[in-house]
Amino acid sequence: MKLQKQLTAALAGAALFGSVANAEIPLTDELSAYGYIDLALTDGEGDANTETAVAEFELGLAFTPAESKWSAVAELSYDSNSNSTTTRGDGVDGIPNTADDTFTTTTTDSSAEFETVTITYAYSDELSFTAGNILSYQGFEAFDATGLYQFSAQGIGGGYVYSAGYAVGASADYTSGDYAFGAWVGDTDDAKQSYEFLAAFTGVEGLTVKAIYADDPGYETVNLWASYDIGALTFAVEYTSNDWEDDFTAGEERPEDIHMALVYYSLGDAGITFRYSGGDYENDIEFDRYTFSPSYSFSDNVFGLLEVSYEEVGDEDSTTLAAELIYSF
Amino acid sequence: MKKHTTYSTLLALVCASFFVSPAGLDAQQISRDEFDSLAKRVEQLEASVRMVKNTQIEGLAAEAVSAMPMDMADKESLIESVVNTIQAKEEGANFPWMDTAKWASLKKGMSPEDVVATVGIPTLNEPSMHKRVDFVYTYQGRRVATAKKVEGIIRFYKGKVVEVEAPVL
Repeated sequence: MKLQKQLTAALAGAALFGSVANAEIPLTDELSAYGYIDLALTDGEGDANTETAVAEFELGLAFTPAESKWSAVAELSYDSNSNSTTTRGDGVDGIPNTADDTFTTTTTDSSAEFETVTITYAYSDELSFTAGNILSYQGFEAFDATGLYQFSAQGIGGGYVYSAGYAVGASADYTSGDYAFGAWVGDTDDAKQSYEFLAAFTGVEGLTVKAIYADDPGYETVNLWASYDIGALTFAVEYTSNDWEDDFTAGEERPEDIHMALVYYSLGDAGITFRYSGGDYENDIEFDRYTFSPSYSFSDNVFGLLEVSYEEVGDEDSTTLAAELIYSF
Repeated sequence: MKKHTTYSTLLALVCASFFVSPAGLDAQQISRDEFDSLAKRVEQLEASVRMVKNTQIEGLAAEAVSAMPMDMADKESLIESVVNTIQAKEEGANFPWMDTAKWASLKKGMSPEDVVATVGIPTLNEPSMHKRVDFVYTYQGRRVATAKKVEGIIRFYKGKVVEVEAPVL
């Protein structure tokens, strides 16, 4: 449950973004800094609103003494609660899209929070132990904007479908050639513990397959995904099933089953992403989401993209546009 | 020789004024202008040190060669050769990757470990925003003889080299 709460809090603030290692600026032999700035603009169909935001500014510090088995990472995320929203009014004539239209900008509060804050002991090249605020094993879609192929995540409204985000706990991770295994345990609000287990296979050129199982007093999740690179194409498929302990609106307990398929075509520095996601969400809400996103890497540090997403949730449909520019350092 | 000793003494004194008394520096704050001025001064000193070092090397070589029974052209050639050797040794010690042959032996598909074994530890190790590049090794430094800034870049995807931009040496 704690994982879920962490995720909810993270999604409420950043909606889409989390933490992944980025560029490194060596400060000393043992300490380096990294981070990124993410600017985003979204435009929802029909609501006449354009939202612009410094979606996230993240700063991380990595302590990695060369001759030590101990290392540490601390990341601070200043996220998109620092939103400004501009609303277009109809003006005195009451007619939209005329010269006297008014524009009102409102700015909400901002917040800063920890993401990955961990201490790791590397017992060997294969086996390591980590404690601290750790990101869930779940998900093909990265928690950080720097790791995504498009702007939005695959869920309704561009949200994440995973049941967990960051949470305090301890993990043991084993990597050996083509296989990797991980186990995480964390505390919860009641007397029970929360667990996550990972198995990964990378034994075929270009192929990555991961299976994650999460068992928490508040949910049970199965997350399976695979990605495959062949030439300029990247294919990915993912299945996520969340069985929540809480009932939804009709008092009916029903698991979420969400599927995703993605194709990314690389044109050198440019790229195009096509994604479909859909399934049963919460209490028998069915949705389908189609995303098209051209992108361009201006350099190893600067990345920009555009996105168009068309979504059908029950009988309602909507289209969302987004533009994003990321600078990593 | 005496002139070079004087240069060295002056430089040592200037450097000492920066480093001998850190407690004194901690005790008083400096303005941005003062900091910029100091940074500029350090840059000038570095340029001076470089010039003095090169002059010293050439002077030492000239002094050693002057006693040899050679004509002028041979002596100049020998001096140049000695200077180049000393500079190459210094470069090899500080920037082992400044070697065209090492970069020529890099190939697509090599692992990061193979790359480090070939050209050494990178100056920077940065993940890339490019979707087909996971991280980038950057090698940066200045040539000892010319102070020209050079840079080499190696990009990796899924643990293998996918692109090499060799430095222009």
